[in-house]
Amino acid sequence: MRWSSLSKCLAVAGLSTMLTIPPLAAQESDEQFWPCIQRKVPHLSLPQIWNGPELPSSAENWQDNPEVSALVTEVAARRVPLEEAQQRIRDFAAGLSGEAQKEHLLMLVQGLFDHMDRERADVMDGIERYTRGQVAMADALRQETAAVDTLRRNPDSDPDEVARRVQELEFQTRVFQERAESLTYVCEVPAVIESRLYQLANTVLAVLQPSGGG
Amino acid sequence: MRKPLSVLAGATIAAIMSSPASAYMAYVSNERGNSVTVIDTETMEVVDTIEVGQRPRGITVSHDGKFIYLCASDDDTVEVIDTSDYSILGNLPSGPDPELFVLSPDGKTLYVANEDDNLVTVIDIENRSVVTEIPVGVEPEGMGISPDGSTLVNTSETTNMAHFIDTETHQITHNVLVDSRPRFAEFMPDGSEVWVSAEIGGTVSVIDNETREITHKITFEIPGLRPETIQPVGVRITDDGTKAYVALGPANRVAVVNTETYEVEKYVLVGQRVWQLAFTPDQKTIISTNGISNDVTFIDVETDEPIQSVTVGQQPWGVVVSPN
Repeated sequence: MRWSSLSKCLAVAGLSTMLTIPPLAAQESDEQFWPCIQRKVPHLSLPQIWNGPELPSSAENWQDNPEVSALVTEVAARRVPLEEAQQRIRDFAAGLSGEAQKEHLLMLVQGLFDHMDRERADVMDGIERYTRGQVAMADALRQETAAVDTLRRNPDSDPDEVARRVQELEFQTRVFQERAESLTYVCEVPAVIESRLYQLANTVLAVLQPSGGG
Repeated sequence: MRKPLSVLAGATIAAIMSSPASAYMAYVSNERGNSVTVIDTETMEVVDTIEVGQRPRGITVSHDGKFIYLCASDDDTVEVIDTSDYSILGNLPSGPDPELFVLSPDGKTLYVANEDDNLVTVIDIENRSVVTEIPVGVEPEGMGISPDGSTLVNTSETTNMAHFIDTETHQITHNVLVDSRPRFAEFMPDGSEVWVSAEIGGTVSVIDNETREITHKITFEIPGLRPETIQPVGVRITDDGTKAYVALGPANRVAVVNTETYEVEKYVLVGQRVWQLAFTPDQKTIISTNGISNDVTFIDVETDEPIQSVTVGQQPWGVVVSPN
């Protein structure tokens, strides 16, 4: 890469950082490092995914029920195909009847909500940590660009030293850009979790209210 | 020679059966699927899928129903689709990153918001040419036009403004500050008001079109839902001007607002991340696009009850229904 194109590349890399971080003045302080286009919603609310019977307060103790707790962990995991997870819920329901079935299924909904909301929040924290890293890296790249530029203009500089620093800068810039590109995918993960939670909750609703579980 | 009556009757019956009066087609742009799903609004079934350009978002239809105009945002163009055979006839010169647009009431001009360039591009459809480009605020998005075609309203996401543009002079005449990240502008059918949604602000500002001042601000509260999940985006108002429908994003609901009292009368649970809305021409149904659950929901306008969800392509964004 020629020096002029490297400068251009850094300018673009720097600009893309600016673009992925919303203007600070327009954001809440806890959103300064939120880089995704979707507005940050730190936690889900139950009515977003559940339109069925009200969950009793006893459902909050879902972790004390080994069967429900194990099922939550199993079906929440994204490596389990959705159809398989939905079938596991239907099989679980088929083994129960009447009030016991309703009680266990409502417990399951609370468990899925708590578990997957926490998982989603962890992912969002991770995205923010990642962005902080990008901001720090952009800053370091800008400083190093200025330093290399000064070195280059100095006729007494060692050409080998200049070449080494330019090469290192190119490498770091590539790393920065690749990290920036992967953000597009990472930003979709909270929505993927949300979508799965909604579909699992709807599977439970379809068992409880066969005509209204759409 | 006159044809026997029975033959004529048979032909008439066949003609009626092949074109039921209420069978409109709904066209849904799938942002990630790079496709448009075609749904028969009578049977509420998917009848076709059209492969289109990259990242299709804004979608509208010509007044005669013959052409669909579609923002292929990542291809920096507006595609024109023939509704008779779903072939892509060509492109309109939209400028970069077109997101949303509005067709003039006479059907001759398309006003396009170019999100990355802070411009509104005015396109002459017949000549497929750019009439002019109007500089507006940062990240223009929402586009509404007055029923008489004289006033265009564009909203800019970052500047948080509704820009009123005179369509004769192409000059901005008024800037109205609204709440954070305005997404959509919709005129009342009588042209008296413009309703502007604000995604982050969580409100809809009602702007008087005479004074160009905000007269009402509609807020939304749903028991059990965190306020930040309520993100108003698409807005549609019934032809008789009595009811407004507001898509509330991740709240997964559409709010039904009484336009006389400005009170929310109902929240209709649809799918996940409800984005845009479109009425069928008979106004009996309104359709919502639900971006995360990959479906659309048909809502009965009389009862405001959801009738049916239909699975479409990946990440449905916009929707329009043919006028005939």
